[in-house]
Amino acid sequence: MSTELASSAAAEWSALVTTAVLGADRHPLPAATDGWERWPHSADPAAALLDRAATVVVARRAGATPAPPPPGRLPEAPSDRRPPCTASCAERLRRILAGEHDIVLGEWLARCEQVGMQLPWALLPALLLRGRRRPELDQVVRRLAGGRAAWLAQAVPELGVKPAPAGRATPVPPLQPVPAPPDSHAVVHVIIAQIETGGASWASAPQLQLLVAGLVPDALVTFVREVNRLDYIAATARTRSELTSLAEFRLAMLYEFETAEPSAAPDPTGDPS
Amino acid sequence: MTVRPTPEQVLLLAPDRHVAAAAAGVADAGNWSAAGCDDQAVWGLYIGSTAEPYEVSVELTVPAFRCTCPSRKLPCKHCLGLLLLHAQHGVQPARRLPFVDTWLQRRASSRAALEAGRALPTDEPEPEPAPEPAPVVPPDAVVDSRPEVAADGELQVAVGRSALGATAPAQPRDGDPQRDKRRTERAERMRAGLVEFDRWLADRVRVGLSAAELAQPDTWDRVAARLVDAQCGGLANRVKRVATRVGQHQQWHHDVLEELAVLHLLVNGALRTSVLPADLADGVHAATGLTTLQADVLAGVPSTARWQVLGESRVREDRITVQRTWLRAVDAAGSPDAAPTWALVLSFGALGNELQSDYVVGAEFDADVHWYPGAAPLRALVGRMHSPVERGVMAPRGLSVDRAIGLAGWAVAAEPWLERVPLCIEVVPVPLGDGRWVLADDTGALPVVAGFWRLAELVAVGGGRPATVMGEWSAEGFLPLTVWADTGRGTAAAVAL
Repeated sequence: MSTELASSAAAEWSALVTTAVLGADRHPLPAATDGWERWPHSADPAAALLDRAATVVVARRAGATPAPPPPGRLPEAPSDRRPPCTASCAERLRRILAGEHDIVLGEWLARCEQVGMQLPWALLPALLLRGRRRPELDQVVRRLAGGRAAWLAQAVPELGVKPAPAGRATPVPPLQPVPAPPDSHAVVHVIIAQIETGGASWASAPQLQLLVAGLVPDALVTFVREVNRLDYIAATARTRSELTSLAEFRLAMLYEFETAEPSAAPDPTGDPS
Repeated sequence: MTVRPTPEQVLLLAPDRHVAAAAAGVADAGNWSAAGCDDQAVWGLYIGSTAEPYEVSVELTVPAFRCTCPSRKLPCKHCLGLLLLHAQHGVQPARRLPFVDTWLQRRASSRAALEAGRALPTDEPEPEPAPEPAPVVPPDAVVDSRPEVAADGELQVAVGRSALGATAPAQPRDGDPQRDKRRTERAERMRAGLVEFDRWLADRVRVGLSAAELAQPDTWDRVAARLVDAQCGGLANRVKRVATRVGQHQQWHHDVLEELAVLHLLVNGALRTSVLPADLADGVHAATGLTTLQADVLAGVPSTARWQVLGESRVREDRITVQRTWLRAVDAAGSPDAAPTWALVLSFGALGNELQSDYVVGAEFDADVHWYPGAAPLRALVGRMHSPVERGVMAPRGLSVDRAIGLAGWAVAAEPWLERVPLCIEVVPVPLGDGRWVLADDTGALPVVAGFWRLAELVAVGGGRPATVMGEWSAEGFLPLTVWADTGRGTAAAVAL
């Protein structure tokens, strides 16, 4: 819409709004602003007001032009030479943050760091928000995010995350993956036996989950194979399905990182794109 | 995604003034522990004067409330306060607490029991009419899936402008005189309803928008109910949306006058469809609430192309969840400024039922797309598929802001009551202060709708550099739905916001 037309539309519109607020019964409808009188309208003042308002609305909406670009711009995030996170790894982290098997979050982050990928940036706000209550997580997230965590906190103050982590009197150790038990294969047999004998009740489920979360990959495969061979045992069915789900989730995650690795080979030219 | 309610909407849920006032005091993050939310519910433990904290959960989609406090008000100040806190500051997404899960499951199962036997909207017309007409108002122009309508052929108006145009009688499907009679009766009922509604619109500006009755939800509900009776469901839904604008901010009179004027325009179009160009008349019918049979749409000439799923949005309308899926034709190397071809696929879920999406944002496929008739056709059905659905690896072409708004203007000029237009642009987010943001390039800037809560994700993905963003442009601003994240080597992944 041209500036001239826009200002005459604004004049016409403000006259119409005034009458509409006060009521056409009490406040007479003023004559149309220059250029707007040639559009037909009804004889009844109230209907005429709506006719004229509709004309302005349609002209303004159809003729809308974007506002001029604002002078300022956000500074660009510090450049990051690591390859971007692959779609499947990003989806896995999204599921973890949505509440599936929170226990493997530390392992996901450790693997990501090991492979040398960027974090999936779309999930950075969620990770930082979670880190406000979990300093051990916050440390790892900020380390993996590189400069982008502080940049984002500054760019979007509405997020409510501090650009720098709060200093603490007693430092907390960073979030680590669940440590592997000394002999994973022996542990697999113990867990299987617990499921078979009914020892894997709901009460011991958290301990068993910690064990499964720490199994080395080989043992994890053995565990899934063995547990699928078992007959149905009602007393431990629920724990068993939880443990199987966790084991399969971890296996899928490890596979995704393994297949992501080739593209993460350090690029001597240093330019990921 | 769930759009967070505004504080005004929350306060409208209050059973009385006292609860509304008390809720404002409760809505302080310091009163809450373990507050969290997901896209279905928001919950928390309210630490009050009692030893045990109150367990508070609010289902967002319905909304429904549960609190362990002894108050008999429903919703009580705790539920309302929590929702207000969520509306104002956004409670963090979290894993659902057990008490919330139990409650939601119980609600879901009792709902399922209630629903057993009642047909839900599906994509296919049901062979049997629903045992009782579902008390839901269909969203705009979208009743073809309602069983009681679909089962009753004569309630449908075949593609064309017949029900209202006095000069063009409806094409009889067969020579049943009963059926013709019913069709005429329906057209008469609509006409009478439209005339009455237009008088009501004029009366609003006759007595003035400052009249107290406009602030009462009853006023609007009554009018909407009358429109439903007159089988103008599309108008009824629009009226309800206008009601939410009253008192929303200081300048609300401007917004409401705009909407009343557009409704007036639409009603007058609907009363004169016989003299309108065919496409425009179809567009007017669709916006008023007349439906087109899916079979008639699918009988039209399709556009065969490769389609990319660019975005998805979900809103609750009355008791139905409406999901909008935006498809865009993948253009072969053409001019970078060429107008893109869009198609909008709607799907519906009733009463909080989980809506299963048929499409994944970013996916691509070859298919026939059939548009519903209209002057600015967007709504469409996907007909025959010519390829499997594949994951897209490239960002779609984003237009400049100036060009995209220019194209949107043409669509609005063709159908001025169009409420939202899809845009795919290449932009950077820029803060204006006070939590207001625009998406900008060198040619212009578009305001982001107030209350868009995934802004940090949008900024984080772009990293301050231009990114391709798809969203819906409406009178309230731009609602981003999807942003494409660089995945290296010239590929990109769609991130739904």
